[in-house]
Amino acid sequence: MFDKVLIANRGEIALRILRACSEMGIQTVAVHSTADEGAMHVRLADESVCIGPPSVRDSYLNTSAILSAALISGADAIHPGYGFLSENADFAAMVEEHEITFIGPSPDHIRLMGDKIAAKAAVKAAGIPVVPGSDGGVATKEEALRLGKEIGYPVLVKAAAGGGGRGMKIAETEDDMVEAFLTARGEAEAAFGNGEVYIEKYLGQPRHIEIQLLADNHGNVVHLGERDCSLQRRHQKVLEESPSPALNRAERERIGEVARAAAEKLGYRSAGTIEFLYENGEFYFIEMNTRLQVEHPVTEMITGLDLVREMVRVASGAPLGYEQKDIRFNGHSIECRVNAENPETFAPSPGKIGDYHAPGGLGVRVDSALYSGYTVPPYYDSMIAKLIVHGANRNECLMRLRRSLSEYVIDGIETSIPLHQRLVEEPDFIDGAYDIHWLERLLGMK
Amino acid sequence: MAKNDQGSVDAALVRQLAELLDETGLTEIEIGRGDMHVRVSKGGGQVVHASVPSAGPAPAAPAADAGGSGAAAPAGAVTSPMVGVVYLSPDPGSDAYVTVGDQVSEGDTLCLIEAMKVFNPIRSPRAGKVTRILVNSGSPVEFGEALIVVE
Repeated sequence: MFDKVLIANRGEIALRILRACSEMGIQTVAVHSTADEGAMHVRLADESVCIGPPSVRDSYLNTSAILSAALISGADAIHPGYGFLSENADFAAMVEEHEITFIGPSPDHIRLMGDKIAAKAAVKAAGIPVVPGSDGGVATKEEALRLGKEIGYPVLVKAAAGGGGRGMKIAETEDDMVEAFLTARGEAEAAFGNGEVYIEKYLGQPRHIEIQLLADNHGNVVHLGERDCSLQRRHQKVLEESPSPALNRAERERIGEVARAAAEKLGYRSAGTIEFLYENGEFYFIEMNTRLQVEHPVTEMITGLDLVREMVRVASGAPLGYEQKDIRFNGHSIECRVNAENPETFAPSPGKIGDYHAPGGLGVRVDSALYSGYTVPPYYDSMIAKLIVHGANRNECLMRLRRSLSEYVIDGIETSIPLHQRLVEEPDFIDGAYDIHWLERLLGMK
Repeated sequence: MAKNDQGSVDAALVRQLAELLDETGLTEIEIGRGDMHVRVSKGGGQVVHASVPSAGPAPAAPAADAGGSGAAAPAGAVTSPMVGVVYLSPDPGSDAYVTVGDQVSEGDTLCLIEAMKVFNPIRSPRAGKVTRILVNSGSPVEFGEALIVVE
């Protein structure tokens, strides 16, 4: 087991990782920008190293600063959290070259899944159903037009180097195709340094359903059920739940096993999530995230597993110690992402927190690094807390969510709590009848 | 140290702290003993706060083992632009680049910071006198940590 883990992240996930390490008796090193000197996890960590000025590029994305911090602190492993360097294959490789364990999947798998064209081909070969589309990259507008006709409009032009909803353009009809193709390519080149694009059928009313996977370094892989993350605004998830209201047990077991078997075939290790679009009873692969995800607590609540702890354990070489048949799914869980923003205009609202009171009680969990007197810095992602509830069934969850949202006090800044309070009253949401466009329609964006 | 009633101020302590400020070139010293907290800081006269700790729980955080982070760098300090290990001489056998009292010109090398096997010279941003060397050769430094004071 590791003696010392360096946490290469910030905010709530850094605190999350610190808590898991602390419970395992592992020393923690917090790296932080100057703007995060007062961050809770920095204050709680055994050691901290300031790695740069506020800008993300010069701090949390600064691979040499983070590696140097690992070397001078003598850390024997690094947990990258999510975002930042967590899916940077070069960083993972560099960490390993320095004989420090990267707590996550192999650099090769990170690289494979980061190339959306190669990822699609690899999972397809491993038995995962994919969205009908081009077989690889599309190089010319003539080819784009031909494919559009073949697949059937509307279609999506997607960047190979994209992901997470970025780098996508819709072509509703043949008339839009050339423009969509050219702009997607140009924007991809500008944003990712790689203009390669591929084309997929555009699904009209899909749900976003993802499968959590966990594997050790010895070939043992389990799936930990699904999460329905269809509530999104501008491709950012707002609320997630498990199980999905749309799936029955047979479908869940089927897709879970398909995903698990594919990960096993790929020789995957550590945590990972395969994301699907689900429509009319069919699953379509969109991408695989080779890291821990923001919404992992939902899975933890229904399985009883500490995913960060499991990542650390398997990274240190320990076997999983359990098989698929040992995994139990209990009850229902919902997570709300609380952002520092105006709940209607979504304008960012950084600043100093006055009164802070987190909800509690049975089945209520808050993952947040906030405290009274803390100043939310303006340089980073606006998510400041995750409110997660668990109940015996979905109705109990909804009641618990309503209750705990009304207890939550975050004074001094604006937050998206009122938006969540609105969501839990919406009949469609209460019925579980929503797809990936539902929230934006509700907000009048569509 | 003299005992204090709650609310009264130990003048001798404050004087001692003020002298320490001058000697060390720090801008602020805070000291707590039992129930009493005193902070003395420089800048247009000395301001003394004697405070009784509040009844409510303060966020009790174990002090992070951080070099420069949190503490104000002394005026005129050259701070580290990177994370690494600082060396005060070009190699183990040689003399230090600078010692206290030296006059330096803008651009003179003050020390080296080694990061990932690459040695980076840290140059003086101004001409002046080296008044304090705040780090030991071979110790790890973080971004923003005060290294050497050039006045």
